[in-house]
Amino acid sequence: MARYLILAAALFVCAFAAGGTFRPAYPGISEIRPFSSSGGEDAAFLGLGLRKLGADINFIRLLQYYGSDEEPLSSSGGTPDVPPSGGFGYGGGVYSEFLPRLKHITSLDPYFKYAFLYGAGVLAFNLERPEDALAVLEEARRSMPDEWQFGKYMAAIGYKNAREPEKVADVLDSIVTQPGTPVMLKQQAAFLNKRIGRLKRAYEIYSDIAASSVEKNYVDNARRNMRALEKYAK
Amino acid sequence: MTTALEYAAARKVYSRSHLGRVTRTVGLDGLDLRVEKGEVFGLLGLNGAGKTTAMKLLLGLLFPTAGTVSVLGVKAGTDAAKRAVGYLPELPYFYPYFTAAESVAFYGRLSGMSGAAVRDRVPVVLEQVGLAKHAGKRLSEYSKGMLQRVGVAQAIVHEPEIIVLDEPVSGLDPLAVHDFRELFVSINKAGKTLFLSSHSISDVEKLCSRVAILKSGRLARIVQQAEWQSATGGLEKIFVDTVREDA
Amino acid sequence: MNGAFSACYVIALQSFREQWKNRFFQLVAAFAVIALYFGLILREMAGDQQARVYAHFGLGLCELVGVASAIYLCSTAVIRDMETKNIYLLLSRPVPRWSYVAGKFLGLTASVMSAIACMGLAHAAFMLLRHYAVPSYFPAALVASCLKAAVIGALAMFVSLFSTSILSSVVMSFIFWTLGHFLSEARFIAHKLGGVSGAVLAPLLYAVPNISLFGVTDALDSSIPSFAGWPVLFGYCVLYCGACLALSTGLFSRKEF
Repeated sequence: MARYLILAAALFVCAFAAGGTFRPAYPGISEIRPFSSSGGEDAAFLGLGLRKLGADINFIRLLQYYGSDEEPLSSSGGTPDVPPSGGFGYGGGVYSEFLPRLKHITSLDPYFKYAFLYGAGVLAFNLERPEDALAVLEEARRSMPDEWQFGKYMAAIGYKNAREPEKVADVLDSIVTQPGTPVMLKQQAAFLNKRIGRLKRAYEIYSDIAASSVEKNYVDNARRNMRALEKYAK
Repeated sequence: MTTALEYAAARKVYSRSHLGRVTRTVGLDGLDLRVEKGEVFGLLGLNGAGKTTAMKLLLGLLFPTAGTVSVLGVKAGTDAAKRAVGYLPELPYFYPYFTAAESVAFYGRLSGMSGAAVRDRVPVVLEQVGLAKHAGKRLSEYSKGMLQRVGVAQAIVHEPEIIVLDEPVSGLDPLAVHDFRELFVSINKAGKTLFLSSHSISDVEKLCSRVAILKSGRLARIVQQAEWQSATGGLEKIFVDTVREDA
Repeated sequence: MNGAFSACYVIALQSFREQWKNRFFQLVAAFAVIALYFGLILREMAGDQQARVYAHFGLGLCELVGVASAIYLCSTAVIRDMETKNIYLLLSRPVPRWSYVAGKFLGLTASVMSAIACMGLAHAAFMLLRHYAVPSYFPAALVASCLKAAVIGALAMFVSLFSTSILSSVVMSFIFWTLGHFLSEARFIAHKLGGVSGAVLAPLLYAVPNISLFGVTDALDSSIPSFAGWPVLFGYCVLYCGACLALSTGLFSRKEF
């Protein structure tokens, strides 16, 4: 027995030296920002090695939350393409849980680029919360310093605050061609281009949405706009 | 060397500890026994007399507390000793999803046979035990008697010098018992030593040339074939009188 | 020595074949494939992130099924042979005890790894059928899951040799597996505890496998390089499994049957 113990001890030491002190570049359980009483669920996801799936499931919940009615649209009435007031897109209203939910997702997976882009886009362009959007993008830049899109988004928000829709459209144009851009931001870019008279560009972006998105609302809206803008396609 | 198996003052004490209390049970108490090559030697005794303990000491499944156990002059439990022994335990278990041929081949390979040797030998052995027609069937479809035949097949596939059989005919029907007896006789005629334990005194009488009677872990008596054949009541009376002495 | 390695190989091959002939094992693999198919429902709720969600779901399921199988099979392997007394037929032959332990482990681990590979292939096929791009880290993730299953399987086999029942062995192995994901936090807490508790707990935690090392999906799907490298992963797996098997052999060598 003694020789097996010595052999095992030597192998354990070698194993520890090889990889025993490795730490992944992800926040530990104590650094996860919980949402509601998600602590137990987060621990389960991390304990089973399903961190990214946990982030995905919470992202689905965020989509479902944002897709539900939080407050009715204002009495001025808006259509999906024309918001009731201010803002650049539909989906406005009070969604008080949106930011905490987003922070929870990005602490589970700090490299969930789509969640950062989507969340910042909703906060900036739909919920009229540009400061929150900028804070989200700052966090994204800290996690993914090599991703240049976050800086561009911050510039777009800055131009929006300065009420310069042409410059917002220019910035968004440079981003929407990148893979992984949320369809909501493509929608914003198309709408802006239409609003400032760049109808051919708007048609191109709507075509891209219709071809690449699986979200029915966005695809239907894109096709509707394509029919309206068909003569500007050439 | 004419000695196949030898127990020299072999002692086995089982220790069980539970919540700090240690219980000791004597399985074998100073067994001195010698089995000659070519013999068919029987081991009789009541339940708990030490028969299975004695067999397991031969096979290295148990380690003696004191004394020595040897196989063909080599310490029992070593690889050399194990190569010389084939073992059929009581109620052997086989993986049910394999065929008889696959199972016997597996045990043959474990006994040190090469792949080619196993391929040649397995059909011969299955023919010998009467399973040639069923070689391709899964063992889950086998009857008890057929499984016991597979047990004998795996015990002899590597052509060991000594075959240890623990209750080889337990639970078998009379026809199967007869077939097994014929099989053991033929194996012995090929020069193999058989060392078997059984509760069936009539089978032991028909097969064995000598019998040891164990009682409470000790060797109570060794009986020669001539002795029980001439005694009134045969081996059964000798056995009963032996185990009942000082009871 | 040749004979010992040969016996190890024969037992490994038999264990591998036994698992694939076992209906329970086939059912588990089939269940996983069916669950992968029904996972396509999950993607419907994921907006434009369908491919990502389905990829993570599938990889997670393959790993969970693989690790659970490894824990169960390795926890029950030796115990089952002892209870059925099949161990008599094995150890009455010139099979060194370490050959038996290593052979059993290698055969069972190979069967789990092949099951993970089958589930992974099915998952990739479902993804391609839906015209999703299979992520570039997909094969690496499956390999890492196999290594993870091997590490936890070796630990489960060791635990089974001193625990009092299959259930306690499975539960203990599962606890070690989840603890392996929180190792750095657990070690920090043990050091902070101090006193007798800390002195006892801290060395034990150094023996818990660092499961986060095998989080290849996390490592390769992040912009900060946190992948330890394949030599480290394979080296750690071999060394850790070797240590567990050495302990298992030590415990097993003095067992009587």
